[in-house]
Amino acid sequence: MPTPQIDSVQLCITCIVDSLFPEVGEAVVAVFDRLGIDVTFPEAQTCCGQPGYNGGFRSEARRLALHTMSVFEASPAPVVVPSGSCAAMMIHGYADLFQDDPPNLARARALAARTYEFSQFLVDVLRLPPAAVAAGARLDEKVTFHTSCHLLRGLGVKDAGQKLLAAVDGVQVAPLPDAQQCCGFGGLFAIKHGDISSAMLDAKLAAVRATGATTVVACDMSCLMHMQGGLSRDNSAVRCRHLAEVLTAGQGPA
Amino acid sequence: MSANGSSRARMLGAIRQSLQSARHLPSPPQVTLPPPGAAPAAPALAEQFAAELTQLSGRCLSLPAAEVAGWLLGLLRERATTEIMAWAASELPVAGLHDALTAGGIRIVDSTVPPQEPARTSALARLETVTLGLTGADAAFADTGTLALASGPGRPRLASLSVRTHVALLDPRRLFPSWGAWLAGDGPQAARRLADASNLALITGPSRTGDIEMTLTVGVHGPGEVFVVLVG
Amino acid sequence: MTFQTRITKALNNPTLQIALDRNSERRITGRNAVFATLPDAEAVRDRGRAIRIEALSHLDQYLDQFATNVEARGGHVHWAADAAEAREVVLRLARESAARRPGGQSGPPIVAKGKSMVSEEIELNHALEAAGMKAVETDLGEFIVQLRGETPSHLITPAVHLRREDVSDLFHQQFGMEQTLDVAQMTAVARAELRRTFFTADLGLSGVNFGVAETGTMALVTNEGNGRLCTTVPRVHVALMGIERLVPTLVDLEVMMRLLPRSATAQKLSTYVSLLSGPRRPGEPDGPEELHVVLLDNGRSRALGGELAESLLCIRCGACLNVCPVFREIGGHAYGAVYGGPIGSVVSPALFGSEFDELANASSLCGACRDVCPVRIDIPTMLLTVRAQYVETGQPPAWMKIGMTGWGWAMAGTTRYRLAQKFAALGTRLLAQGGRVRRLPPPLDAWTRRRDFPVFASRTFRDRWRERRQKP
Repeated sequence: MPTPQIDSVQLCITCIVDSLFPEVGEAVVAVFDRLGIDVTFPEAQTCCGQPGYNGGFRSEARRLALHTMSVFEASPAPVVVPSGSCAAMMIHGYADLFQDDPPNLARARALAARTYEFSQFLVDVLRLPPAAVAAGARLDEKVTFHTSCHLLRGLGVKDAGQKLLAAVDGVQVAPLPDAQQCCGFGGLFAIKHGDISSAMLDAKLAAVRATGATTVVACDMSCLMHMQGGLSRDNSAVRCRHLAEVLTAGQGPA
Repeated sequence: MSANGSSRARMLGAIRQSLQSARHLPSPPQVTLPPPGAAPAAPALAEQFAAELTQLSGRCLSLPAAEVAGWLLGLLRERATTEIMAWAASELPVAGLHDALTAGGIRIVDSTVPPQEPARTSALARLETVTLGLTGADAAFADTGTLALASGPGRPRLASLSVRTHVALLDPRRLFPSWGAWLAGDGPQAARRLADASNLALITGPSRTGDIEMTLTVGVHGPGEVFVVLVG
Repeated sequence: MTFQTRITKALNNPTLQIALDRNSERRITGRNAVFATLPDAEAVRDRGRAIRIEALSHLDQYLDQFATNVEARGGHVHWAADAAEAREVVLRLARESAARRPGGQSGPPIVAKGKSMVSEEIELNHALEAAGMKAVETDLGEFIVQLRGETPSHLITPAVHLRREDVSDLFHQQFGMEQTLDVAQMTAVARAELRRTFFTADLGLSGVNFGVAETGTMALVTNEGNGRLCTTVPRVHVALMGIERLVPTLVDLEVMMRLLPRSATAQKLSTYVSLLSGPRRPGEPDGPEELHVVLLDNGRSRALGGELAESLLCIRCGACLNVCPVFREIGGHAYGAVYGGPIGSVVSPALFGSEFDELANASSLCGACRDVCPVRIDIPTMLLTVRAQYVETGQPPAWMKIGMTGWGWAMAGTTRYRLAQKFAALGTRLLAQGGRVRRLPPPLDAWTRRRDFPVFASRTFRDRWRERRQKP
């Protein structure tokens, strides 16, 4: 199958990356810069609406979905999202929200057809050799990879992130025991059932500690924020990094 | 219409009404299962059956018809058992077995549980104490080590159920690769006729439970020992 | 007790935590290993799903056919619209059977029970006891749970929340058994205690794993032998069946039986699969004289026409409970419902109403349940539907309603959004100690009880993007 010729993407930054982890967004842009792919950032974007959808507040979620769709419809370029859960929201959640609304359902399906999570886009869509994507990056550390649920089960992305991670110079990848087990974030669940969420986090962090890794890598800042929060509270030296940050490690600012 | 008849009509009506407005039942996936493959040769089937049963702590052995009585008498001696429940002689694949057992000092108890009292209660009290049951088998499935036993005249259910040791005599010609193969292959008619039995018991090894801390224990309420004799 | 109270209790119960971990680990490994022995496993799951959808899509026809065939073979069919009607049938039949005991035998009617979640659903034991009858659970897990005065905590393994030490304590108290860690010994004690029950009960009660419409056959799947004994020895057998538990044909049944034991107990086939078609026939030496099937609606027909109809595909294997990371932390009792865990969080609202909607909130929507379901029920999507119902019925706490309105407002336009970002940056900077927020105000303190929270960036990504573009 021929590699699609894509020279421009729209970045859906996600409200978490925009507001809390902007350096991750910068790393994503740096990766595309290095690959010679033009990045546009439609500034009218706000939030994909997932918190509302997950919480059962469907009218609020619909409003945001309509807004998000019109933001990204303005250009035909594919939409790349550095988050499995936000990508899954746009790819599956919007169709669910508009299942009784044929015109908007069509819009949702059309947008979904060209929306991708970051690692999925590079490996499964552009089919770039991982070494080409990771070229120039270096991280001399033992790392481990957490497979986030929406990316794995929601989008069926099995190992794109792992392939990219393994291609970075210097990394020693330790497999994470029960990698596919949910970290416990779950959106509003982390607050509404914070105690269960924390118990699940403890199980995930025990697995992380067992690897001896100094950095945990994933494709979802929601999972990583939750894990970093626990590690920080435990005064652990282990840090959490988005895949894009590892792909630009050791390279200085873009 | 009887009270029960109107309950029936009401409930079916409620279901029908729901189905009329139902938009949320998913569409079924389109799939055809591949038919069961060609059956392996008889010796391979017997081997597979024995391996499956053994894995489940059941015991499987092959004996010529002439040796079955002797083997069974030996087992009964080992177990210090002098009375058993058994299927009627006509239902067993070995001729003259009842006579041989009786001659060997074994009492084949009357397994009939009459419906009327007080005969029923006293029959049950009697049968409660019997520790070994002898049956035939109507079919067996090699892929799981399973026996199929149909109820009928001369075929007490308790003989494979309330005893500690169940001995089943199996004609190897009734061994099938799987339950599915039995249904699909050797006459769906035959299978359906057997399902016409008021009780068709598919028995796969001795009784077991994992209810306490998921620890496997063999031998709970049903037999703790199952012997299948392939009668050659 | 509220849902939250039950959850807290479960999370703080160390023996429960150990038991749940052991259960999950074993079940997950076992299920995967045994599915590897199933030829064309994915196609079989698809076929299983298709069979169940077919049965539900024409449920009126198949149920009618099933009932007609049961009656043709000498069985009786009772149509119970709700739990009360079902209980009434069982009580009456138990009384009538006890009246046929040999003269002089007194004592309350005895009902020997095989495992039946439907009997839990209709709270049968309580009704039997209130009527002065004796209900004896004969499934080992149910037997244990009954002696402890508890309800089952799992669809398949009712005593999963207990360790062997707990069972030993129980049997020591109840039967004077010497304390032991030997599970085989404890099982032998249970066997001895229950054997008399099988032989003297007036009525044997069972569930039904699948009803086969084509022949009026009921399939009962067990491992211990108690199910067979309950349905063979007592003069009357009563089978409780949810109306959705049908398959059209015997061939369909065999397909389902490739999936159920593998998903439930990691077995290729359960020890006993009994196919019951009517009571004992004339000339047969044993078996129940009467067979009664109680078809229970209790919300199922209504659910069939609603948004949660797919939940009726469930074949009650329990696999979703075993893989669920939330169930692994809180166990079955925390749900406070007959049906808990992932499927229960959908079935309970579907059958019993909105008061159970809150169960659907206790999920991170990880999707492991959907992955493992033998008939591919889309539980996560239905959990979201239940959450929407939770909101529509006004149940969320005030903080959530207010928070969501505020969030919705803030996200609705770029100016508001950026304002909210500035506000959050200022707020978290003020709250931070050493670059991290250690404590957020309630209700957000649910996060900071265990986790630090980051400070919102003073230069957001969009700030940086603008700066970037302004560079020469």
